[in-house]
Amino acid sequence: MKVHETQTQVPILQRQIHGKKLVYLDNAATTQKPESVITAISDYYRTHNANVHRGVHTLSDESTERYEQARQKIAAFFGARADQLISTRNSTEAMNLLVQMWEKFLRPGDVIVVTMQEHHSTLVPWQMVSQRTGCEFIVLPMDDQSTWPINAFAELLQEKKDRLRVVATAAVSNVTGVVAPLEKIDAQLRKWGVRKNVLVAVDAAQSAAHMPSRLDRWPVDALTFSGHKMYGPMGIGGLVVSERLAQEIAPVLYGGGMIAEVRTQETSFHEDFAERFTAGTPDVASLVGLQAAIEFLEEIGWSELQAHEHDLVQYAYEQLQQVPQVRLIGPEPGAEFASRVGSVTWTYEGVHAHDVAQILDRSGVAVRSGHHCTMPLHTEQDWVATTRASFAVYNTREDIDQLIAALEQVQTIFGV
Amino acid sequence: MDDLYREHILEHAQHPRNWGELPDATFVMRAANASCGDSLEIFLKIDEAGIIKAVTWQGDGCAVSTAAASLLSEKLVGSSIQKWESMSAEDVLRELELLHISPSRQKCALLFWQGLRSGEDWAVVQGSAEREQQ
Ligand SMILES: Cc1ncc(COP(=O)(O)O)c(C=O)c1O
Repeated sequence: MKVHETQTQVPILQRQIHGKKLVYLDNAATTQKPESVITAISDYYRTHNANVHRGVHTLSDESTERYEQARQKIAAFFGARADQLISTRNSTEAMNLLVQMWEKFLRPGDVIVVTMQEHHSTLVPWQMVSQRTGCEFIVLPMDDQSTWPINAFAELLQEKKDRLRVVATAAVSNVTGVVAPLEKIDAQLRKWGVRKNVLVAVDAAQSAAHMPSRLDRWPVDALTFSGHKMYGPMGIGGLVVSERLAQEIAPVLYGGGMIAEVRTQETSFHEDFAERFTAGTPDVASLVGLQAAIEFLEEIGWSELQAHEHDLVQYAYEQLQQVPQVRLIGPEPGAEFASRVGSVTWTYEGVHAHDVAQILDRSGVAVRSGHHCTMPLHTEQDWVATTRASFAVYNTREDIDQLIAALEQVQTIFGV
Repeated sequence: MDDLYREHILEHAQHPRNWGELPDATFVMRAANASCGDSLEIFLKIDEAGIIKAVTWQGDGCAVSTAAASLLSEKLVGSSIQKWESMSAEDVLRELELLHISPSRQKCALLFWQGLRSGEDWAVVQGSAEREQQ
């Protein structure tokens, strides 16, 4: 499928908003869904619905088969096997789950490191577990607000390498588009010989739809993702763990499906990883929908998709730079794809981000305004709130032209 | 929504009334909307009978929260603080002629009022111990 063909695959893009054609630029919050995803979900409920594993009847078999196929497809997309994938509702739940499972290894004085630009879904669970366990929780400030603070991390290692237990960070920031230098982080840990003592956990919520996000290529131990940010349905996400980690963790959710034997005073758990970490009925329809979303991505192919999205980011950056009241934040997109991924974010002099977003909505342009769940970053940088346009494969340069035209309304209305 | 940015809202947003600190305030209240970063402080002078004698306020916010704060601040003097505390969100939106505001912007319009009724967060500036104990 060619990039330009994707627009006709996504039914909601035909909607009119306030009498204008929808220009959807809030893809980092959630992407819109291709017809194939919607159909996969409704087909599942229309023709194959039954609970998995628990019946011997035909529908239960069909459902189980689809469930397992979907899990394999999703795991493979993230460079893993199905028995390294724990499905969750979203990336937030996946990170919380990882924290809960890792808690038993944490001791007072251990060090947990995140960066200032982490989404609250990474920052808060690690902050809370630090409080519970007496760990030192370190939030690295960004390098001159733009890039991942690899130098500060290197310095921190000199002093605290022996106590470092966790590094958790987003592969791509949802505010600045900054790509985490995972190789360099790994190299630093190896340089000091402490790699094996440290859990490197990556929040791939904002990378999964934009670049290969794979456990077999990234030097990390775990990644989290949300299906709804990668053309799939809401309500499904996951935690993908390395083989080493899969050996070390134990379930923290108990119930049906995950057990081997239950007696009144003791329980043993299922031998199979996927079963052991799936307590209760899984969301089969959403897994099937996410499989369809992955097939949608594969039909386009990474090289076309990345080239197109990089063009959108660059074009949007250039166009916004021409608007005198706009101050762009985060790194300038360079020639390299990985210099900035997925979005552009700005403040508008004299007008609050909410008002900017509301006025854009009048022209059918959907963007996001606020903190984007990164309050520490906004506080550090002294931004009251920012406005973000974030892209998907179905967006076009014309969408960005519409955005710029709509921004002129802000000036007209506020007279700034 | 189209009249959200009508003239008098914009006018108040750009020239908020009763702006600043109040040197002889008896109470300072704060309200913040964590999801968008808006925050404001309200300075009030309230007499023994609970009647508001003077008000000023300041903060960071969008046009809607700024205009709503400005408009409401003009209605306070001479009324009792209890009256504002006991009003419903709908009453306040009606006062502001913003009943039809979208759900996502209601929080903005109500931020100032949220501050007014955040009784337990009140900081007592100068004495008024009686109020503090409540
Ligand atoms: C970088 C990042 N991590 C995590 C999340 C959380 O995603 P979800 O709300 O689907 O759990 C988001 C969503 O905005 C995000 O941008």
